[in-house]
Amino acid sequence: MKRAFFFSFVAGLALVAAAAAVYPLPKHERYLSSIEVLTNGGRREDFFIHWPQDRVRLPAVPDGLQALAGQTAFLLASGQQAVMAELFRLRDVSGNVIGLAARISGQAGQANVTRSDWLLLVPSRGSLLLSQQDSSDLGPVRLAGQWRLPAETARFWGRARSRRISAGPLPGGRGRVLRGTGEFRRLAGSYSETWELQEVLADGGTRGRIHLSTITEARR
Amino acid sequence: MRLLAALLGLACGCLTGLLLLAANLPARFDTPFTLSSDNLTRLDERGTVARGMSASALDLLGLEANGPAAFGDPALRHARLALSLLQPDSGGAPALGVKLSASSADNSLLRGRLFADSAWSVAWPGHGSLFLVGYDDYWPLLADSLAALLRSGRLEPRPGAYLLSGRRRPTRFQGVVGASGALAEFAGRYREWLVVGDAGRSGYLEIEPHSR
Repeated sequence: MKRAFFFSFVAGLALVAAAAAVYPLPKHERYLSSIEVLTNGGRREDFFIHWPQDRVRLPAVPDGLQALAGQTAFLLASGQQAVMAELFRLRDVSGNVIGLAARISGQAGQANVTRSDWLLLVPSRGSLLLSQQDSSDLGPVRLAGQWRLPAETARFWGRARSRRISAGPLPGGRGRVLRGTGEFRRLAGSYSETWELQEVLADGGTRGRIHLSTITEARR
Repeated sequence: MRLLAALLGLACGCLTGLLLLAANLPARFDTPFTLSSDNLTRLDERGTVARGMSASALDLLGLEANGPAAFGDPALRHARLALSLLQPDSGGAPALGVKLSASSADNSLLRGRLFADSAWSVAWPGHGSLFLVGYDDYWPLLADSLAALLRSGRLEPRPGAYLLSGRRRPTRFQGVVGASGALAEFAGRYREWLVVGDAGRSGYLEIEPHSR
């Protein structure tokens, strides 16, 4: 009887261990990555965001923040200064939604110099952190007492169909890829951000896409 | 009689196995993640609003049904986006905090790993911003939830503060990885606490700064 108890006890332990080993923990859906290997070293990977449809709407407004663009952009103002977070879905070159992106912009340090940071998360691969000086202020502007997103108005574009936003700090007016995690963790490099207008809507709004083009190589 | 002993042994073996799993023996060999308490800046999350997974132990186990805030996109089912106002406990200017996180690809029940990889951007108006990357360990919440299930039949962790960054992971970095503006020379490490209360969940960050 003791032997029966002992062997079944061990069998119980083994059963739990086996169940823990084969338990189907959630896995991320992964799409084929499209990465171009450059002839002079490094790798290029492009990401896209379509506005307005890729903006992520939050169900409520956090305390102390102002909501813009249908609760997809949020502003924290302090006197004449403000920072804004815009929340997006992130797509690959084939148009698949592969992750999330947050663009945080505002003036920092020198007056009239607008900076922006991007936080990109591709759940199946890792995250990328980008930072740059902006050539155009895409941050909120105060018009008639209201904070507005300039790129979503026809007035911002004039006759232009695209605007390159990256203006440094790296040579060629490119922003800096600060760091990555997961599959991106050993990478550093540069990126450019371009906003491309596709359509001016009847209500004066706009439709278009944001193109983030990264060139990275292994950190030394 | 022999059959009864075998069934009793099986039940005892399963229960002991579950307790050993919950005790998370592999974690006993991990180095604890500690910060110096002399120079900590604490940022309290106020009114966090999120989309995506609920970031609970059950969600990371895949046992929670998708709520109305979940993403419909297949690639985002186990990802989360959260926005908060971060208020320094010293009474300084508040910051805007954005956190993106997703369940870790190397999670394993057998090895006691129930992590979410996370990245923060923390920005102060007119001042500068910080990038933080790290991971959230939900195993203590799971163990506490299982203990509550045995005690009271409810799968809910006890109210209290849970350190999400309690264990060092050899392959993962936890710290400040970038800064801009007036904070450009800022580097350091951080850890995150999740506070489970009767009225809901909140949290705070503790940042240990040092200059580059």
